[in-house]
Amino acid sequence: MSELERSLEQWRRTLAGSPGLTADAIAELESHLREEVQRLLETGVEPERAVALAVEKLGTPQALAREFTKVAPEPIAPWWPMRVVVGAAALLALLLVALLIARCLNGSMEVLLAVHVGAVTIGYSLSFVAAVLALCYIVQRTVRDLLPEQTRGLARGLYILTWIAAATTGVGVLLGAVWAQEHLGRWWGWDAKETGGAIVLGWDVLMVLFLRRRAGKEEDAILLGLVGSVFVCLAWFGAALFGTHSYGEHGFLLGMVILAHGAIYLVGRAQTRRLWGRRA
Amino acid sequence: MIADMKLTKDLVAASAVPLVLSILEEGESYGYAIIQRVRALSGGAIEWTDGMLYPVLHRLEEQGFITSRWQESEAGRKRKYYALKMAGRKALRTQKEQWQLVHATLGKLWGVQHVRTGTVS
Repeated sequence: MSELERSLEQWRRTLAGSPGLTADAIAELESHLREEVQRLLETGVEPERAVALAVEKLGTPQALAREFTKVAPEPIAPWWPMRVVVGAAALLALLLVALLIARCLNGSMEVLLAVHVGAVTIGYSLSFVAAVLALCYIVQRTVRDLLPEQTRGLARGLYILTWIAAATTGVGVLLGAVWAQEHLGRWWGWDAKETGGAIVLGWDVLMVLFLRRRAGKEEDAILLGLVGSVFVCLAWFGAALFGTHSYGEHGFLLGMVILAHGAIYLVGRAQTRRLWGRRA
Repeated sequence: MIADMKLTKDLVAASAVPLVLSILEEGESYGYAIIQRVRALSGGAIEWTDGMLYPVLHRLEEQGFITSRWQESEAGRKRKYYALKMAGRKALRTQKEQWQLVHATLGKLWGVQHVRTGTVS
Protein backbone atom coordinates (compact mmCIF):
# COMPACT_ATOMS: atom_id res chain seq x y z
CA MET A 1 0.00 0.00 0.00
CA SER A 2 1.40 3.41 -0.99
CA GLU A 3 1.97 6.24 1.49
CA LEU A 4 -1.04 8.07 0.02
CA GLU A 5 -3.37 5.09 0.43
CA ARG A 6 -2.15 4.56 4.01
CA SER A 7 -2.94 8.20 4.84
CA LEU A 8 -6.40 7.93 3.29
CA GLU A 9 -7.06 4.66 5.13
CA GLN A 10 -6.17 6.38 8.40
CA TRP A 11 -8.49 9.29 7.54
CA ARG A 12 -11.33 6.86 6.78
CA ARG A 13 -10.83 5.21 10.16
CA THR A 14 -11.15 8.55 11.96
CA LEU A 15 -14.52 9.14 10.25
CA ALA A 16 -15.97 5.64 10.60
CA GLY A 17 -18.60 5.54 13.31
CA SER A 18 -19.05 9.30 13.42
CA PRO A 19 -22.72 10.16 13.95
CA GLY A 20 -24.50 11.22 10.77
CA LEU A 21 -21.74 10.00 8.49
CA THR A 22 -22.96 7.05 6.44
CA ALA A 23 -20.68 4.82 4.35
CA ASP A 24 -22.02 6.62 1.26
CA ALA A 25 -21.18 10.04 2.71
CA ILE A 26 -17.66 8.91 3.64
CA ALA A 27 -17.16 7.52 0.12
CA GLU A 28 -18.26 10.84 -1.33
CA LEU A 29 -15.93 12.80 0.96
CA GLU A 30 -13.09 10.45 0.02
CA SER A 31 -13.81 11.05 -3.67
CA HIS A 32 -13.55 14.79 -2.97
CA LEU A 33 -10.36 14.30 -0.99
CA ARG A 34 -8.74 12.35 -3.82
CA GLU A 35 -9.60 15.12 -6.30
CA GLU A 36 -7.98 17.73 -4.07
CA VAL A 37 -4.94 15.55 -3.33
CA GLN A 38 -4.49 14.97 -7.06
CA ARG A 39 -4.62 18.73 -7.70
CA LEU A 40 -2.02 19.36 -4.98
CA LEU A 41 0.25 16.57 -6.25
CA GLU A 42 0.15 18.17 -9.69
CA THR A 43 1.44 21.39 -8.16
CA GLY A 44 4.43 19.49 -6.71
CA VAL A 45 3.30 19.02 -3.10
CA GLU A 46 4.58 15.83 -1.37
CA PRO A 47 1.89 13.09 -1.00
CA GLU A 48 1.77 13.12 2.80
CA ARG A 49 1.59 16.92 2.89
CA ALA A 50 -1.04 16.90 0.13
CA VAL A 51 -3.31 14.61 2.16
CA ALA A 52 -2.83 16.74 5.27
CA LEU A 53 -3.71 19.93 3.38
CA ALA A 54 -6.72 18.35 1.67
CA VAL A 55 -8.03 16.93 4.95
CA GLU A 56 -7.66 20.32 6.63
CA LYS A 57 -9.57 21.99 3.82
CA LEU A 58 -12.30 19.38 3.94
CA GLY A 59 -12.93 19.99 7.63
CA THR A 60 -12.18 18.13 10.85
CA PRO A 61 -14.02 14.83 11.45
CA GLN A 62 -15.87 16.49 14.34
CA ALA A 63 -17.01 19.42 12.19
CA LEU A 64 -18.06 17.09 9.37
CA ALA A 65 -19.98 14.84 11.76
CA ARG A 66 -21.71 17.90 13.24
CA GLU A 67 -22.83 19.17 9.82
CA PHE A 68 -23.94 15.76 8.56
CA THR A 69 -25.89 15.10 11.76
CA LYS A 70 -27.96 18.22 11.00
CA VAL A 71 -29.19 16.72 7.73
CA ALA A 72 -29.37 13.06 8.81
CA PRO A 73 -32.92 11.69 8.42
CA GLU A 74 -34.85 11.87 11.64
CA PRO A 75 -35.61 8.54 13.29
CA ILE A 76 -38.79 7.12 11.83
CA ALA A 77 -40.35 6.20 15.16
CA PRO A 78 -39.23 8.65 17.84
CA TRP A 79 -42.66 8.65 19.50
CA TRP A 80 -43.31 5.61 21.71
CA PRO A 81 -46.89 4.81 20.57
CA MET A 82 -45.51 4.53 17.06
CA ARG A 83 -42.96 1.95 18.15
CA VAL A 84 -45.67 -0.03 19.99
CA VAL A 85 -48.24 0.07 17.16
CA VAL A 86 -45.76 -0.69 14.38
CA GLY A 87 -44.15 -3.46 16.48
CA ALA A 88 -47.54 -5.05 17.18
CA ALA A 89 -48.50 -4.82 13.49
CA ALA A 90 -45.24 -6.48 12.46
CA LEU A 91 -45.83 -9.30 14.96
CA LEU A 92 -49.40 -9.87 13.70
CA ALA A 93 -48.16 -9.84 10.10
CA LEU A 94 -45.60 -12.54 10.97
CA LEU A 95 -48.30 -14.63 12.67
CA LEU A 96 -50.55 -14.27 9.60
CA VAL A 97 -47.75 -15.35 7.27
CA ALA A 98 -46.96 -18.35 9.51
CA LEU A 99 -50.66 -19.31 9.57
CA LEU A 100 -50.97 -19.07 5.79
CA ILE A 101 -47.79 -21.10 5.27
CA ALA A 102 -49.15 -23.77 7.62
CA ARG A 103 -52.43 -23.90 5.66
CA CYS A 104 -50.54 -24.20 2.40
CA LEU A 105 -48.39 -27.00 3.79
CA ASN A 106 -51.38 -29.04 5.02
CA GLY A 107 -53.11 -28.54 1.67
CA SER A 108 -56.15 -26.62 2.92
CA MET A 109 -55.27 -23.53 0.87
CA GLU A 110 -53.55 -23.08 -2.47
CA VAL A 111 -50.42 -20.93 -2.59
CA LEU A 112 -51.80 -18.28 -4.97
CA LEU A 113 -54.84 -17.70 -2.76
CA ALA A 114 -52.68 -17.67 0.38
CA VAL A 115 -50.35 -14.99 -1.02
CA HIS A 116 -53.38 -12.96 -2.20
CA VAL A 117 -55.03 -13.17 1.23
CA GLY A 118 -51.75 -12.38 3.00
CA ALA A 119 -50.92 -9.37 0.80
CA VAL A 120 -54.43 -7.88 0.97
CA THR A 121 -54.70 -8.45 4.72
CA ILE A 122 -51.33 -6.84 5.39
CA GLY A 123 -52.08 -3.96 2.99
CA TYR A 124 -55.46 -3.22 4.54
CA SER A 125 -54.08 -3.65 8.06
CA LEU A 126 -51.33 -1.13 7.45
CA SER A 127 -53.96 1.44 6.49
CA PHE A 128 -55.62 0.65 9.81
CA VAL A 129 -52.29 1.06 11.57
CA ALA A 130 -52.07 4.55 10.07
CA ALA A 131 -55.54 5.28 11.46
CA VAL A 132 -54.61 3.98 14.91
CA LEU A 133 -51.53 6.21 14.92
CA ALA A 134 -53.64 9.20 13.89
CA LEU A 135 -55.99 8.49 16.79
CA CYS A 136 -53.02 8.14 19.19
CA TYR A 137 -51.84 11.50 17.90
CA ILE A 138 -55.18 13.16 18.65
CA VAL A 139 -55.37 11.59 22.11
CA GLN A 140 -51.77 12.58 22.88
CA ARG A 141 -52.50 16.18 21.93
CA THR A 142 -55.34 16.40 24.42
CA VAL A 143 -52.66 15.88 27.11
CA ARG A 144 -49.52 17.42 25.67
CA ASP A 145 -48.28 18.60 22.27
CA LEU A 146 -45.77 16.47 20.43
CA LEU A 147 -42.34 17.88 19.68
CA PRO A 148 -42.06 19.15 16.09
CA GLU A 149 -39.57 16.39 15.23
CA GLN A 150 -41.98 13.79 16.65
CA THR A 151 -44.78 15.14 14.44
CA ARG A 152 -42.48 15.09 11.41
CA GLY A 153 -41.29 11.58 12.33
CA LEU A 154 -44.89 10.40 12.60
CA ALA A 155 -45.78 11.87 9.19
CA ARG A 156 -42.67 10.25 7.72
CA GLY A 157 -43.60 6.92 9.32
CA LEU A 158 -47.13 7.20 7.90
CA TYR A 159 -45.64 7.83 4.46
CA ILE A 160 -43.58 4.65 4.65
CA LEU A 161 -46.50 2.62 6.06
CA THR A 162 -48.84 3.89 3.33
CA TRP A 163 -46.25 3.17 0.66
CA ILE A 164 -45.93 -0.44 1.88
CA ALA A 165 -49.74 -0.66 2.18
CA ALA A 166 -50.14 0.51 -1.44
CA ALA A 167 -47.53 -1.98 -2.67
CA THR A 168 -48.90 -4.99 -0.79
CA THR A 169 -52.54 -4.14 -1.60
CA GLY A 170 -51.53 -3.74 -5.27
CA VAL A 171 -49.87 -7.18 -5.27
CA GLY A 172 -52.89 -8.65 -3.48
CA VAL A 173 -55.41 -7.16 -5.92
CA LEU A 174 -53.33 -8.34 -8.88
CA LEU A 175 -53.08 -11.91 -7.52
CA GLY A 176 -56.80 -11.82 -6.75
CA ALA A 177 -57.44 -11.06 -10.42
CA VAL A 178 -55.21 -13.97 -11.46
CA TRP A 179 -57.04 -16.27 -9.03
CA ALA A 180 -60.41 -15.06 -10.36
CA GLN A 181 -59.31 -15.80 -13.93
CA GLU A 182 -58.32 -19.34 -12.95
CA HIS A 183 -61.38 -20.15 -10.85
CA LEU A 184 -64.17 -17.89 -12.08
CA GLY A 185 -63.11 -17.47 -15.70
CA ARG A 186 -62.77 -13.69 -15.56
CA TRP A 187 -60.10 -11.26 -14.37
CA TRP A 188 -62.31 -8.63 -12.84
CA GLY A 189 -65.99 -8.51 -11.99
CA TRP A 190 -66.50 -5.40 -9.84
CA ASP A 191 -67.99 -7.44 -7.03
CA ALA A 192 -67.98 -5.92 -3.53
CA LYS A 193 -64.55 -7.26 -2.60
CA GLU A 194 -62.89 -6.32 -5.89
CA THR A 195 -64.39 -2.84 -5.84
CA GLY A 196 -63.27 -2.46 -2.22
CA GLY A 197 -59.73 -3.52 -3.12
CA ALA A 198 -59.61 -1.02 -5.98
CA ILE A 199 -60.86 1.76 -3.68
CA VAL A 200 -58.28 1.01 -0.98
CA LEU A 201 -55.50 0.81 -3.55
CA GLY A 202 -56.63 4.10 -5.11
CA TRP A 203 -56.76 5.75 -1.70
CA ASP A 204 -53.30 4.49 -0.73
CA VAL A 205 -51.81 5.81 -3.97
CA LEU A 206 -53.46 9.21 -3.41
CA MET A 207 -52.13 9.24 0.17
CA VAL A 208 -48.59 8.44 -1.01
CA LEU A 209 -48.77 11.29 -3.53
CA PHE A 210 -50.11 13.68 -0.90
CA LEU A 211 -47.58 12.68 1.74
CA ARG A 212 -44.74 13.16 -0.74
CA ARG A 213 -45.73 16.81 -0.88
CA ARG A 214 -46.48 17.11 2.80
CA ALA A 215 -43.81 19.73 3.64
CA GLY A 216 -45.24 21.87 6.43
CA LYS A 217 -48.52 19.96 6.37
CA GLU A 218 -47.68 17.07 8.68
CA GLU A 219 -50.84 17.46 10.75
CA ASP A 220 -53.09 17.31 7.67
CA ALA A 221 -51.24 14.21 6.53
CA ILE A 222 -51.71 12.50 9.89
CA LEU A 223 -55.42 13.26 9.94
CA LEU A 224 -55.80 11.87 6.43
CA GLY A 225 -54.66 8.54 7.88
CA LEU A 226 -58.01 8.44 9.67
CA VAL A 227 -59.94 8.91 6.43
CA GLY A 228 -58.11 5.96 4.88
CA SER A 229 -59.39 3.59 7.52
CA VAL A 230 -62.99 4.45 6.55
CA PHE A 231 -62.23 3.16 3.04
CA VAL A 232 -60.62 0.05 4.48
CA CYS A 233 -63.66 -0.57 6.72
CA LEU A 234 -65.96 -0.32 3.74
CA ALA A 235 -63.72 -2.48 1.56
CA TRP A 236 -63.07 -5.14 4.17
CA PHE A 237 -66.44 -5.37 5.82
CA GLY A 238 -68.61 -3.97 3.05
CA ALA A 239 -68.47 -7.31 1.26
CA ALA A 240 -69.83 -8.93 4.41
CA LEU A 241 -72.65 -6.41 4.67
CA PHE A 242 -73.64 -7.12 1.10
CA GLY A 243 -73.51 -10.82 1.93
CA THR A 244 -71.39 -11.73 -1.07
CA HIS A 245 -68.76 -13.67 0.85
CA SER A 246 -68.57 -16.45 3.37
CA TYR A 247 -68.50 -14.19 6.39
CA GLY A 248 -71.76 -12.46 5.37
CA GLU A 249 -73.55 -13.83 8.45
CA HIS A 250 -71.50 -11.39 10.56
CA GLY A 251 -72.81 -8.43 8.60
CA PHE A 252 -74.69 -6.86 11.52
CA LEU A 253 -71.64 -7.03 13.80
CA LEU A 254 -69.40 -5.60 11.12
CA GLY A 255 -71.90 -2.86 10.42
CA MET A 256 -71.64 -1.90 14.06
CA VAL A 257 -67.86 -1.82 13.71
CA ILE A 258 -68.18 0.65 10.84
CA LEU A 259 -70.63 2.82 12.75
CA ALA A 260 -68.37 2.82 15.83
CA HIS A 261 -65.42 3.68 13.66
CA GLY A 262 -67.34 6.55 12.04
CA ALA A 263 -68.24 7.90 15.48
CA ILE A 264 -64.60 7.76 16.62
CA TYR A 265 -63.55 9.48 13.45
CA LEU A 266 -66.07 12.32 13.88
CA VAL A 267 -65.10 12.81 17.54
CA GLY A 268 -61.44 12.83 16.55
CA ARG A 269 -62.02 15.45 13.89
CA ALA A 270 -63.97 17.67 16.26
CA GLN A 271 -61.34 17.26 18.96
CA THR A 272 -58.53 18.11 16.58
CA ARG A 273 -60.33 21.19 15.29
CA ARG A 274 -60.93 22.34 18.84
CA LEU A 275 -57.26 21.84 19.73
CA TRP A 276 -56.01 23.56 16.61
CA GLY A 277 -58.42 26.39 17.18
CA ARG A 278 -57.12 26.75 20.74
CA ARG A 279 -53.52 26.73 19.55
CA ALA A 280 -54.24 29.32 16.85
CA MET B 1 -11.50 45.89 -3.25
CA ILE B 2 -13.99 43.13 -4.18
CA ALA B 3 -11.20 40.63 -4.92
CA ASP B 4 -9.96 40.80 -1.32
CA MET B 5 -13.42 40.70 0.21
CA LYS B 6 -14.67 37.52 1.88
CA LEU B 7 -18.33 36.94 2.49
CA THR B 8 -19.52 36.53 6.07
CA LYS B 9 -20.33 33.03 7.30
CA ASP B 10 -24.04 33.82 7.44
CA LEU B 11 -24.16 35.07 3.87
CA VAL B 12 -22.12 32.12 2.61
CA ALA B 13 -24.56 29.75 4.33
CA ALA B 14 -27.64 31.60 3.04
CA SER B 15 -26.41 31.65 -0.54
CA ALA B 16 -25.36 27.98 -0.65
CA VAL B 17 -28.71 26.60 -1.81
CA PRO B 18 -29.33 29.08 -4.68
CA LEU B 19 -25.71 28.68 -5.80
CA VAL B 20 -25.86 24.89 -5.85
CA LEU B 21 -29.25 24.82 -7.59
CA SER B 22 -28.08 27.39 -10.16
CA ILE B 23 -24.94 25.40 -10.97
CA LEU B 24 -26.94 22.20 -11.31
CA GLU B 25 -29.34 24.03 -13.62
CA GLU B 26 -26.42 24.24 -16.06
CA GLY B 27 -26.09 20.45 -16.00
CA GLU B 28 -25.23 17.60 -13.65
CA SER B 29 -22.13 18.01 -11.56
CA TYR B 30 -20.30 16.64 -8.51
CA GLY B 31 -19.24 18.21 -5.22
CA TYR B 32 -15.65 19.04 -6.03
CA ALA B 33 -16.56 20.63 -9.36
CA ILE B 34 -19.35 22.66 -7.75
CA ILE B 35 -16.91 24.09 -5.19
CA GLN B 36 -14.39 24.96 -7.90
CA ARG B 37 -17.11 26.62 -9.99
CA VAL B 38 -18.30 28.78 -7.08
CA ARG B 39 -14.73 29.73 -6.25
CA ALA B 40 -14.03 30.72 -9.86
CA LEU B 41 -17.30 32.64 -10.31
CA SER B 42 -16.85 34.61 -7.09
CA GLY B 43 -13.16 35.24 -7.65
CA GLY B 44 -12.46 33.44 -4.39
CA ALA B 45 -14.79 35.67 -2.36
CA ILE B 46 -17.15 32.80 -1.59
CA GLU B 47 -14.99 30.29 0.23
CA TRP B 48 -16.77 27.17 1.42
CA THR B 49 -15.17 24.75 3.82
CA ASP B 50 -15.12 21.89 1.36
CA GLY B 51 -16.85 19.32 3.54
CA MET B 52 -19.76 21.64 4.33
CA LEU B 53 -21.15 21.45 0.80
CA TYR B 54 -22.05 17.77 1.06
CA PRO B 55 -24.61 18.09 3.88
CA VAL B 56 -26.28 20.80 1.78
CA LEU B 57 -26.38 18.47 -1.24
CA HIS B 58 -27.76 15.64 0.90
CA ARG B 59 -30.45 17.88 2.36
CA LEU B 60 -31.49 19.05 -1.13
CA GLU B 61 -31.69 15.41 -2.20
CA GLU B 62 -33.73 14.53 0.89
CA GLN B 63 -36.10 17.39 0.01
CA GLY B 64 -36.52 15.96 -3.49
CA PHE B 65 -34.89 18.89 -5.29
CA ILE B 66 -31.95 16.98 -6.72
CA THR B 67 -31.06 13.40 -7.51
CA SER B 68 -27.70 11.63 -7.37
CA ARG B 69 -25.86 8.72 -8.95
CA TRP B 70 -22.38 7.28 -8.66
CA GLN B 71 -20.42 7.18 -11.87
CA GLU B 72 -16.85 6.35 -12.74
CA SER B 73 -14.92 9.09 -14.51
CA GLU B 74 -12.75 8.46 -17.57
CA ALA B 75 -9.75 8.45 -15.24
CA GLY B 76 -11.35 5.62 -13.27
CA ARG B 77 -12.29 7.81 -10.29
CA LYS B 78 -15.71 7.28 -8.72
CA ARG B 79 -17.75 10.46 -8.39
CA LYS B 80 -21.23 11.15 -7.12
CA TYR B 81 -23.05 13.26 -9.69
CA TYR B 82 -26.02 15.42 -8.81
CA ALA B 83 -28.76 16.59 -11.17
CA LEU B 84 -31.66 19.00 -10.76
CA LYS B 85 -35.19 17.58 -10.56
CA MET B 86 -38.41 19.37 -11.50
CA ALA B 87 -39.06 20.28 -7.86
CA GLY B 88 -35.53 21.72 -7.74
CA ARG B 89 -36.19 23.94 -10.77
CA LYS B 90 -39.31 25.21 -9.05
CA ALA B 91 -37.36 25.86 -5.83
CA LEU B 92 -34.70 27.66 -7.84
CA ARG B 93 -37.33 29.94 -9.43
CA THR B 94 -38.54 30.85 -5.95
CA GLN B 95 -34.96 31.45 -4.76
CA LYS B 96 -34.27 33.69 -7.76
CA GLU B 97 -37.37 35.77 -7.10
CA GLN B 98 -36.46 36.19 -3.44
CA TRP B 99 -32.82 37.10 -4.05
CA GLN B 100 -33.80 39.51 -6.82
CA LEU B 101 -36.26 41.14 -4.45
CA VAL B 102 -33.54 41.56 -1.80
CA HIS B 103 -31.13 42.85 -4.45
CA ALA B 104 -33.65 45.33 -5.86
CA THR B 105 -34.62 46.57 -2.39
CA LEU B 106 -31.03 47.10 -1.30
CA GLY B 107 -30.27 48.67 -4.68
CA LYS B 108 -33.04 51.22 -4.18
CA LEU B 109 -31.91 52.01 -0.63
CA TRP B 110 -28.25 52.28 -1.39
CA GLY B 111 -28.85 54.05 -4.69
CA VAL B 112 -30.66 56.81 -2.79
CA GLN B 113 -27.95 56.98 -0.12
CA HIS B 114 -25.20 57.16 -2.72
CA VAL B 115 -26.94 60.07 -4.50
CA ARG B 116 -27.35 61.87 -1.17
CA THR B 117 -23.71 61.45 -0.21
CA GLY B 118 -22.50 62.03 -3.75
CA THR B 119 -20.78 58.65 -3.95
CA VAL B 120 -22.51 57.48 -7.15
CA SER B 121 -19.90 57.30 -9.86
